[in-house]
Amino acid sequence: MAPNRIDNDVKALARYFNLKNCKCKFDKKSGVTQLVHNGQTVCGLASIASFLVQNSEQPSLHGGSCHMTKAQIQQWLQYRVTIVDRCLNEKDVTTVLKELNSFLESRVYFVTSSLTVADLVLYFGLFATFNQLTLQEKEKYLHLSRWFNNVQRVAKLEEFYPILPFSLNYLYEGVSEH
Amino acid sequence: MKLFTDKGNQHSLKILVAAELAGISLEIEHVDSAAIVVPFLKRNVLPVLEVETNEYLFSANAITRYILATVGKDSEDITVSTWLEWESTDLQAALSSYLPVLYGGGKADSQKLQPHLSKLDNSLGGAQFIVQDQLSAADVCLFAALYPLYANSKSCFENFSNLNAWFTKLHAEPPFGASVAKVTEGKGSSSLKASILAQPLVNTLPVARSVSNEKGKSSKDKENSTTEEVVAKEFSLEEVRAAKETFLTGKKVAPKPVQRNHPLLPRKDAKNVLITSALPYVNNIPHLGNIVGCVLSADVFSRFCRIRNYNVLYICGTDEYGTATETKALEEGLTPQQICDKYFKLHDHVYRWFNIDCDHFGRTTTPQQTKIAQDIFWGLHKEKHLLEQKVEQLKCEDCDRFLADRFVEGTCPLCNYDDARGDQCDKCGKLINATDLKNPRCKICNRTPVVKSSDHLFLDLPRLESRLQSFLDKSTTEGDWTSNAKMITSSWIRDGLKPRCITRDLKWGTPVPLEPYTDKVFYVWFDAPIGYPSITANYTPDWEKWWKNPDEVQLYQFMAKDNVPFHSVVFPCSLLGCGEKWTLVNHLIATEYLNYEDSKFSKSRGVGVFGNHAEQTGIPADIWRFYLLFIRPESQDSYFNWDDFVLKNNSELLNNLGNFINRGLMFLEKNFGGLVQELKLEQLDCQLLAAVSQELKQYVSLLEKVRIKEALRHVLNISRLGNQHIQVTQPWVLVKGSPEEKSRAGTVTSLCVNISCLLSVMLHPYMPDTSKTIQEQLNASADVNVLTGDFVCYLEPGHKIGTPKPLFAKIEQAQADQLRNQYAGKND
Repeated sequence: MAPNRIDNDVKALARYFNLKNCKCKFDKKSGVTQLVHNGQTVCGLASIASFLVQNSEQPSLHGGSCHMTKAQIQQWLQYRVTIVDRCLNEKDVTTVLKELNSFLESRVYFVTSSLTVADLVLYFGLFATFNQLTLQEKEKYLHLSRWFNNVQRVAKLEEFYPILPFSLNYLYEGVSEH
Repeated sequence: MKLFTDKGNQHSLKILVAAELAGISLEIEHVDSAAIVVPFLKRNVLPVLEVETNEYLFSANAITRYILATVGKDSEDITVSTWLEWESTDLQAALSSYLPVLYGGGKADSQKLQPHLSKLDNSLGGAQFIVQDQLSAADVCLFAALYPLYANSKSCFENFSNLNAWFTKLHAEPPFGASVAKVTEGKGSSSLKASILAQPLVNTLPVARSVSNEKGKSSKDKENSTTEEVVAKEFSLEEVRAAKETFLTGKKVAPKPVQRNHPLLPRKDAKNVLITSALPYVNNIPHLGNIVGCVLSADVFSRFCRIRNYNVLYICGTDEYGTATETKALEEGLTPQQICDKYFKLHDHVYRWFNIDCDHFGRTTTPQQTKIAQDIFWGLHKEKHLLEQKVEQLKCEDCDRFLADRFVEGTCPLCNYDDARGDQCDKCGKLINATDLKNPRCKICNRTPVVKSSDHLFLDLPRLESRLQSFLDKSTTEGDWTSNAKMITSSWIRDGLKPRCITRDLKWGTPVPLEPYTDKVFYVWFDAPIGYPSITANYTPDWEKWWKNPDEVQLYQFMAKDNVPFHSVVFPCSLLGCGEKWTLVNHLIATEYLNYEDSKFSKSRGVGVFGNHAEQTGIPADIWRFYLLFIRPESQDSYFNWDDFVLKNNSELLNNLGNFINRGLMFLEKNFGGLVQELKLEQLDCQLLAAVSQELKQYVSLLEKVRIKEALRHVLNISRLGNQHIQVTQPWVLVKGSPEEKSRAGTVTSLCVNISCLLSVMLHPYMPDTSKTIQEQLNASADVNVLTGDFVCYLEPGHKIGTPKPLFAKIEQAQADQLRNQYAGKND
């Protein structure tokens, strides 16, 4: 999971939220992607995502004004930048997939029961990994795959990434989750 | 609300301060630093706040803001977010490696923290708070993050006056002071040590950061961005040195490819590899599953063995005797021989189209088959391994024939499956006798057949069991048998070997030479594997040098899992018992099943891609080979999926592999007149050489063990590494610069062109046409087609390449949709 994906994701998010008068740039000195909007500069993917959702016309992706919801969104955005984006090897990736799969066992979306910016940001962060998985591996992380397949269709993300294929039937016997 | 934390965990300080500021009392539970509190997290992450039963927050920063928010004290200012994000990414990454050294008593390099402290210091100016002159979560979290530094040495911020002032002022505030006391329990910095040393290291980002999108890419760059970057691993100096040395000097000592002169016979000075693929039954039009499991897998391995300079013979052909052919002949009004001639051509054509390069693709209906089968039979007869028995068989009075197994269907006596065939139940896989079926029916006329008795010959497997077991013990431990092959074989033996009938009342088959059985033929499963040596006998009269030479020949047999018992038990027993020393299978490679989309291949229902359908789609054979091998069903069934097919073509072949090779060649042609430049290798290049060498070695060692699917991944890894190298070095910028920069661009490009040459060889077993095309575009000599496991520079400075052209074409989703519909069969 490589660093320059962050630049792509920021640009994609800005397009997705359709925020006018904003520009994305990569600040070489600090090594951080920045969003500039009406003179204000926001640094870092998680903050930019929060900023975009606050200022866009899609408040539903905000998750609502409940404190717990806000905290959960912050938490998952942080998870993206500190854990997902920093996997150095296969083992790290597998740990992430297992954790998220486990979390989503009883949930449709990451926060509340509708799509929020946390789902979007994690989708972007996981795309590259999912693109590499075989259908059998996807079945191993059943809940995470269900979530991924749902988000990629519901959030209308075809403009950003191709729709990945998922099998709708169990094909592999004895697939345990661990 | 309950806070779980280990004692002295500095991150919990944030939360305690927030609680104090909010006037909320928190229940605190102390746990071990390795405890996993949150059920779904696979690592230990402390502190954790249980907000309500089973509702957790595991991000300390998020918890801090949450607590402040509950009393309206969390700021909406986005700057708070950016500071917390910086804290959790940059600052913690630096502290995570610094603090354990500091607290562990080592010599910590405080220079590492300078930029971070400096940034804070500058940002503060003289302000009392970080954001908008008001206490916020930013102050709380940054204070807590830095606290361990202060606890260790109160003068740690002495070079940063603003920071120092900010910190000490906060520290003096009651909420902060009280929280510090709670965390340290009044014991100062030593209380933090245990937790700090137990906390897992935070991963940091790799230093080499590639620049985002190249110029000129449109916003529809999504497909290019799916090219996944492999994070560069650091190789040891020795590995790098060795890779560089081999690369630069290896060409002189590289062996040349061995010429393939027919007829191929075992040689004393070479590794002799005999490869067979299960003989496809002539009447059945092959589908993709049949192809990948048998002929294609064997083809990949045999091509690999050839570029390893082993002495390889790859034998395959059609299995032609048996009732199905007889029946089909009646249906079509032809003789069985004519049917076989007709369908043999079809098989031959399909496999040629798929580039299956057998040394000989033959047939079982030859005089050699009769001779060899009868010789084996006589051998078994002489050694007394045959039994004579009356057999009750099902005879269909209306059709006036004894029904062979495939012409009886009924209910399986063991598992109650309704559609069991006469010799093997499709569902439970157990071998049965047709007479055991419940509710049998003649497949042709659906009448219930009657039981009549007839004399037959049986191979006495139990008598040969101990010899078989010794052979299997040796072969399965010394050779590479796939695990399903071993399991199926051992479960067969565990079930208890019984004598197997080897004769049938049919006309179309190898005649039994013993009176009074001369009106009968050999049962197909006794007869068919004898096809391997007999087809070889049609190739060369010296066939016994391969087949009766176990000391000098290694036999690899490829098949799908349902054929395993016949190759691991019945055939070896026939050979072990006939009194001669035969070459027996050393490595049995069995695949699982390939399914099609969400169901199974079915000729009758028109579901799936059969015979020459693949050719008709216009998609080149190499692309089919690639995808089938990418999804080769090794440890589990897998299935063919059109969407995935398109995706793999477009992402792996087009954007990864094709893109890397093409851009290197185009660049060399455009900027350097197509001439390979001098290679002045720098550190980054040598790291790449080491990485490519490692992938190559893994590829070779995997294919030696016939791990076909895994080895392919390493080919794609190499082109990924190549793409990444180009992204980082940016030769398109360098080439416009100074002469040194231009020369650097020349080195990088020439290195990539050599990697492309290596890739063409590694690709040969999988995609032979593409391999050839790449070598033509490289103008590489045929001598490069040898794999020693070393990455060698074949294209030296001054070598002129050919004409680059794109290797692969994009498959549009629309075409895939249309093809999927075409082969989806009738709706049920």
